[in-house]
Amino acid sequence: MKYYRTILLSAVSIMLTAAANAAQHQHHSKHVADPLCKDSSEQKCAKTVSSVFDAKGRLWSTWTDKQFLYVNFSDDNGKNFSKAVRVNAIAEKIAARNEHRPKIKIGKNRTVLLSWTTKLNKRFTGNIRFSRSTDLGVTFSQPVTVNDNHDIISHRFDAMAVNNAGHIYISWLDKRDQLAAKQAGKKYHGAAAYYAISTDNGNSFKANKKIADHSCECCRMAIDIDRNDLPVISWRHIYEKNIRDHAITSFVRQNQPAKPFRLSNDQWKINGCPHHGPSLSIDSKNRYHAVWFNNAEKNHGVFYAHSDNNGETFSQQITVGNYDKRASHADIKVSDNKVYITWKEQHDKDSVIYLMASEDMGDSWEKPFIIARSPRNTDYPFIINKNNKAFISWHIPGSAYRLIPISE
Amino acid sequence: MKKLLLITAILISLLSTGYNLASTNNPIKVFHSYDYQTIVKNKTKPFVMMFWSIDCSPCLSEMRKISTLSANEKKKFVFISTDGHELKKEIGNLLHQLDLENENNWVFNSNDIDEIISVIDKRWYGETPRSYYFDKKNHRTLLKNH
Repeated sequence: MKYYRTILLSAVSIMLTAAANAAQHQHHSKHVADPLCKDSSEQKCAKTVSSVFDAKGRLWSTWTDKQFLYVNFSDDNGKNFSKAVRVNAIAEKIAARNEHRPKIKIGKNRTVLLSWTTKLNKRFTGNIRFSRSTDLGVTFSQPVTVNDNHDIISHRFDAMAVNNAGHIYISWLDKRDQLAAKQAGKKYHGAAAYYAISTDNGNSFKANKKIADHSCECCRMAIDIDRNDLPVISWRHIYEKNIRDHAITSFVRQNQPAKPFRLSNDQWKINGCPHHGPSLSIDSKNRYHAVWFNNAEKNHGVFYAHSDNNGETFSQQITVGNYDKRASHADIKVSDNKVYITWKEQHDKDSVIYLMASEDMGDSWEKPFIIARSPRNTDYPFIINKNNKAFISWHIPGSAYRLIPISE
Repeated sequence: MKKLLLITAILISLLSTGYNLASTNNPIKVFHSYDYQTIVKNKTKPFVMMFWSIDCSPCLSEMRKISTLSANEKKKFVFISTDGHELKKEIGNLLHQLDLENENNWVFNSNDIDEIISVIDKRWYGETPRSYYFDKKNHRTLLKNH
């Protein structure tokens, strides 16, 4: 409201005619579409690519084009890929850009698992969708909707993890409680964090359960599996009126989340969309490693911290990357007793990908270095493990998908 | 008869040209990193530059309020979508719903989004809405949206 008043006051004081401006800029508005990717469903033409290795070292990738989801695989670390298989027979508006992207994981018996958000016709609405392949990617099951509330509201920003028992956890941000509050004439801030579990390798999902009310509504969630073979989930939360910091929850048992704790306390006050969610990875001693972004007055940038008590408290946070170079969208992964963080920076016109490693599980960090760069605008970097070897999974839309080895 | 047909054809042609001109009078322009300085330089009076995105519910709340302003007041805004130009059609539909389609509308060039953002403000990381007020001397003030 304060913001709106400021805008109005500003607007009233303005004496402006904008029409000439538009005409003066017409000559800049021409844009030539990328000729490489016109009407192409190729992987390299996608906005986002998500990948995972299975236990036998096969790399599985998924991406979208024109309302269809595709999957292929590579047995030589991404040098050559199989012919792509289309997942959904019926077109649907799959969310796949920026913080939205389909997820791919491997279940029991090398079952290929996919989750994604399908946009519905009303703005800011969506459903959480799931499909699987039990024949090594030859065919995929007819997609199902995981959210058991079917109002035309927001069920978006899916995250997926599979534990050692093969149980599949999918979490997402859900506005069913906001709708109920609205119908009751009450106010409800943001969305809610929900999840569903499948204990039969994706054949079915149990009833949806709520983790917490009042999540932020436009940032990705993070999920990993802890030493107890239970999920840990983190998301951007709304504290007080409009402080958008991060929350984290472990689970007390298979289908029962614990009380969430506060992961970050940077006090970013914003009545808007940060478009910037956290990343999480848990080591064999059950230390939670987290990276997140905030742009608060005092604390701004990418931060790292770890927790040895199920998220109740975190270590003193350290800054990751160069804030003035737009360090952002960090991903973290534990791999063979090391912890890696990758993130993206903007150096003049180049997208630059950094890597930073810790050999003592986050107590100290080696000097960060540039592992890749591109003169093009690129997707965010992610770290994936091939058994105990780590790779950066990085996509340059319209150019190439790259898998960059980062461990010996 | 031939003359009548010819005149009708010319009239239809003129009318359709006129219609096209009217409907594309204020098209959504693709915003490159150099456009920021050009817009600011060419403004001689105070204005608000608002960056927004189609996935941002708070952005739409603000824009709905702005759309209730008078036509003259709406002209005091430059609206720039951060979504990327391939979503121009979807952005156009939304602007139409908001009754803002005839305003000064832009959309980021998809190939340079990060570069554009860093040119505009090194302390901006793409969160939306993001609005700046420019006074008559073109001094910029970030409008806080707590």
